[in-house]
Amino acid sequence: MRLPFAHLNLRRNPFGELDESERAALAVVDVDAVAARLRAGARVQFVGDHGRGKTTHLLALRARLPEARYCRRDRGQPLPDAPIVLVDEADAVPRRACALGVHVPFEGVETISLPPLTSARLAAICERRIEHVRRGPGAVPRVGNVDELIARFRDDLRAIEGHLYEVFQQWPSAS
Amino acid sequence: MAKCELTITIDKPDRTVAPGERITGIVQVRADADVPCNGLTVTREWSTHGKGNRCTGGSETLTLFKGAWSADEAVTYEWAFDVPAGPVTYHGHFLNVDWYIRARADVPWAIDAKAEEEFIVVPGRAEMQLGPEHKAPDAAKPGQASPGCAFAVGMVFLLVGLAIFIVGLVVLNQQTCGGLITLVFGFVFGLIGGAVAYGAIRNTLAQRTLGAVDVGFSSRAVRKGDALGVSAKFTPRAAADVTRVTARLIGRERVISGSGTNKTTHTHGLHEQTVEVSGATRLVPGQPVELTASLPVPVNAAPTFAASENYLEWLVTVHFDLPGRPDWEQDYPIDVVPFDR
Repeated sequence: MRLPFAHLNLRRNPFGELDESERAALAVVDVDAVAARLRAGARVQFVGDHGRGKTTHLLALRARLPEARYCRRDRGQPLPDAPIVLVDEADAVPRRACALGVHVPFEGVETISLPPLTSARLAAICERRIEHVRRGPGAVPRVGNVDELIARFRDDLRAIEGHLYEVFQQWPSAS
Repeated sequence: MAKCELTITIDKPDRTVAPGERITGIVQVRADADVPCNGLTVTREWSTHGKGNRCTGGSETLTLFKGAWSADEAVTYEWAFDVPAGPVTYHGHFLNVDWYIRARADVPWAIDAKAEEEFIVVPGRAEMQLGPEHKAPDAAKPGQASPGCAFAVGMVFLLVGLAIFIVGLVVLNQQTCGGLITLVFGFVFGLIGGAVAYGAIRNTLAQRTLGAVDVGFSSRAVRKGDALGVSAKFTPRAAADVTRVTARLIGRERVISGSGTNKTTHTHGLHEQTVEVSGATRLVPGQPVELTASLPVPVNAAPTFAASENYLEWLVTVHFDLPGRPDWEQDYPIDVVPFDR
């Protein structure tokens, strides 16, 4: 038996499921301005369908703000006791500084636009995911057709990840 | 910022070990400045990776060092762990199970230095663990949810769907567009409910013809390459024709990704083979019947594994095809256990 994905100089499929800390570390998002607004007491929301980056933004904020706590309401997790709360799948607006991930916007809460999925951003996401699982020095596979992926899947990053997972599962050995 | 780099080396070149053996190696630390360390730990554990939510288990941790490293110092620390009795390494499509040696240096006021290397656990001759959520298949109970509960849920859906359908008819009589939508919605809702309710009581209905069906196996824990004996005993209550009786061995990966409204189950088939237990036959009331068959377990069968949201499962589906009557079908989970042949 061989080590997993050793034939691609990788440790595992780069587009497999990530844990929360990996998602935050690999996120290609800019949350500096939002983090500053939360520290000033703002209440903001990220609005979008599945796979558009709401959770990734909240996890990136958690990595940026040590005083913030993250919870998922759809898992029944209670609102944490923290000065800043990051609430995924929010069902209500907390009365303190918060960032919410929602499908339908709440009234009276500032909506932060999720960044569009450009070719450059998708290429950066793919690059980061591949480098994260690099096994050692040397060549690793690259995703070269990012424009085609955006044309096919539009801004659904999760669908793109699902497609690339299958591509890497079937990627032939160099030998 | 002071930085240190960790490198793990596993002594055995092929990194392949079996339960009962020891896995040994070193962690090398290189510091580019004076670095205080609250603890250099090395952990042996397994993790899943692939399409499902990640899970980890079998952790054992050693603390190798606490203190400070000097600039440009390279220090090595030896470690050794017993190889536990599973789960074995597995590389599939949606599911992978790998064993790791993970090193971590807790450096105050800095990002911890980390490194990891895989090693491969192959089956040994002793009994092996099949994952933290594994339960031995209960020989007395088939692997299915309570039919009474499913029937109740199905009936609720059926009645609600029927009510929506009637409302749709009323609204349609008033010649509004919404009536047709309500009608179709109610029909589909009720149809799903009816199918669930029927599925829940189908075997009970079939047993009015077949009598109680007692399915048995030569063993519920088999090894790759084995032949799995299946038997079905029953005493028919009514005269009836049987088109055929089959037993199907199914192996599959089933993993779950995401959570809440974003939860998705991914299934990948590994094996499916159907054998005929009986061809067309006529049942005579009160005359006991015993049918037997042998299902070959593939020589490359992957072992059963069950951990949180990551499963490699095997099951046998026994099916009685009764023309003009409800069919009888039941799933029985079995274990494929890893074994060094």
